[in-house]
Amino acid sequence: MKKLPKIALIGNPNAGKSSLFNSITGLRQKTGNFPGVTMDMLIGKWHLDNGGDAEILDLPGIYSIYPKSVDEQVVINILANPQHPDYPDLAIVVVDASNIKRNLLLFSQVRDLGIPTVLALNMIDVAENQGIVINSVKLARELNVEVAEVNAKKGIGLNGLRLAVNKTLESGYNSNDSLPMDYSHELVEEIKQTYGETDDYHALLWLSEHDNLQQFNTQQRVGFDKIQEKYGWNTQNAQSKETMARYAQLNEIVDNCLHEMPVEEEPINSWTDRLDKIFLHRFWGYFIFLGILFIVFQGIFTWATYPMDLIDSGVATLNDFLKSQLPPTKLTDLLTDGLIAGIGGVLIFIPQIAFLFLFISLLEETGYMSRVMFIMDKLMRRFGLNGKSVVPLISGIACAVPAIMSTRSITSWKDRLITIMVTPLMSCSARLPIYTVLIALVVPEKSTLFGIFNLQGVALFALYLLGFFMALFSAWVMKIFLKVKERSYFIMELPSYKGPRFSHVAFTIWNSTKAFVFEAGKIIVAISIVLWVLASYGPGDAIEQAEINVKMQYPTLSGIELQNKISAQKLENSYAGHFGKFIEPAIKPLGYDWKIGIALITSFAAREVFVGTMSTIYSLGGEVEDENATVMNRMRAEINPETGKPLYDTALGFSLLIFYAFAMQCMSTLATTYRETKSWKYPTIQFLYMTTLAYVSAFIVYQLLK
Amino acid sequence: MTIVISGFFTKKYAYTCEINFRLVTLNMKTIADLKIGERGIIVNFTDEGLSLKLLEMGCLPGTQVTMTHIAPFGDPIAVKVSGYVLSMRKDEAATIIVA
Repeated sequence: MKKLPKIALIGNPNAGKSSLFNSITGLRQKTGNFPGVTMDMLIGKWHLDNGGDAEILDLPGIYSIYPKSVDEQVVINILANPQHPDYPDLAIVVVDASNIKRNLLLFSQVRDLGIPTVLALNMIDVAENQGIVINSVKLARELNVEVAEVNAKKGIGLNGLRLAVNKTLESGYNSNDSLPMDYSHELVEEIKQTYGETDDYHALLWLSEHDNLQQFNTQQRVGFDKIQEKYGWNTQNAQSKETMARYAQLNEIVDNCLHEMPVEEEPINSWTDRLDKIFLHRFWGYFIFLGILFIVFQGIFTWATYPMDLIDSGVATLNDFLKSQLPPTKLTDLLTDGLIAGIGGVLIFIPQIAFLFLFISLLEETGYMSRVMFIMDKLMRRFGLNGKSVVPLISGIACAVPAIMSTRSITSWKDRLITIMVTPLMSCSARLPIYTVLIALVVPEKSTLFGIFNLQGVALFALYLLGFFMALFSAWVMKIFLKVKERSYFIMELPSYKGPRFSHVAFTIWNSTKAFVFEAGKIIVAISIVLWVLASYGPGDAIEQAEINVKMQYPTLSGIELQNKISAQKLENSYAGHFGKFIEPAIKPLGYDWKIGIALITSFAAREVFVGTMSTIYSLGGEVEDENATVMNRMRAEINPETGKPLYDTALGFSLLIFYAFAMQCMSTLATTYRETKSWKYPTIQFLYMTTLAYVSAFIVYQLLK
Repeated sequence: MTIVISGFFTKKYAYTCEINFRLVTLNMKTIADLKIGERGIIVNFTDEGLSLKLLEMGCLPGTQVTMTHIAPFGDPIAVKVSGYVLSMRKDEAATIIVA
């Protein structure tokens, strides 16, 4: 099969790149992964009239080919390496006509990389409203490329764009003008001799960005350092000079092609300005932000419960049905109590995750999220964070994995690292079922605070606040320890408000939910099965002996009571029971027994298995009459053998709640931290500090309340 | 003169470089000094590391900037420059000299 030509969409953020991509590909798109990083890349197909189909890639928005953050880095790794599997055969640079100089800077850099380039001139209507008229024919002549006028949002001008692409693909033409800035040809020749034949601009790009380019190994990087030293190369200086030289050239071109009509007054009272007056207001700004947060919480904790209950009862019904239909063998138990219970534990999170991503992508799409960063920056900076840390922290309420990945837009390494380290302290949706069960056990349902607020709800809200403040506190502590001499900056665009593109929102929800189900799902299901095996089998023949032993010990018992005693002793003698007993001395000061110990051990892979583990532990071998009893009721009935009172009293309940609020119990999060920091050091520190925090806090709580 | 005093007292741990660059910009007006609605023309930058990013974002010498928003606690700020709104922190704005 002939390889399809690859077309990359490149452009400034908010230039209309993604809209153009959607207009071109319609629904014929899929997500791919950038090699080496787990960052979503959209790939679509575009039918070119004579040349068949082309593959079209939507790359993240960038301002220049010199990256300042990790998400910009991805684009450069492709463009700097002609051997890269995604290196485009042609680039469409999307240019926002209302801000043409800044947009053309990136265009001129991409063109000079020798990639055949087509310019898609977008947002002409916005420019005309500002009194700017651009002569695109003249622009094409001056820049020596095909220029297509498009309206990306409405999908107008696509035929012209297709024509321009066809023409450029056929001629393979790229204007190989000389570079606008001065540089040493001797230096470029040396790079070419050492690293292979290439064009001058690639050689210079390699020299200045070699530390960040995946295509070079350590030895090659050292080689670049030596060349830099030999020629007295100053990357910052060279890049500044290049940018100035490019602008000088572009100024002339733009002056020739652009007419500025006098507009009566600057359109200062545009929608965006009017909305910003409210959203950035010193009082209303925060008030509205809190209001939106409240709606998000409401959505996650109230509206999402309806579909969650449906899923929950659906799984339970299926399990009962299978149990009644299938022969009562070990295999059936594995299928129902192990596998299906485990899958149900994953599915139940879908509504909450979907709701959260609905809100986050709506806020991002409309442009509101950057306003939140703007009003929060000063506050967050006190704690060693950054205005941009707000998004990961909010996302952390759903799941720390996508939250940590969203830190890529933070330009400062120190701010980004601290945000990654503290984000898992935000109470994620996996903690919610644990909170729900334990709060129901220890906080009376009927009590209210000041007669209006349900005390259980207050307790839940307090746990979320506790996680948030602990995240801020930990960030503040890390800020003191992490001494990095690096400037954190906050230069970013405040885009104008727009209506959300619902297809984009739907796509984000679909992708994030799918990623969660498959990534976290694998681990949870695997652990459920392992746990079932560990709880059903034991060393030696102790499990088989259990029945005989119990009958000998309690000869008067019969029926359900006997069965319960037998199953309890079976569990105690299983592998899981032995593990639980083994760590019991360590968790005794927190008030936990060996059964909770089993749940703790399994929770270290993924905390969401806690409730599942509890139901496995308390239901194994349970009688048929028991089937209706919930985990909660079984836990409530559990008696502390030493005191003879209910085991789950206030002290134990709160101690467990605090432990689960702070402990690092998620392998997926640790793996993500490793991937994002490229070092085992940070996930290790994260695991240790959070677990220590959890242990000490739970200890204090238990000892105080006991 | 007021710039130096306010800058010095609010930042208890003023870095030496910070003090130096405050001295350099002593008599010069920067974006950080603009009031809401006030305009200025970019003349020069005092921080080379930041200037590249600012240039890429369209803050060119000769361009007009208008202060549009100041965040609730006086920092960061947002300016209108070459047709869009750009936000930056106050100390970043203080590296852009305007006339």
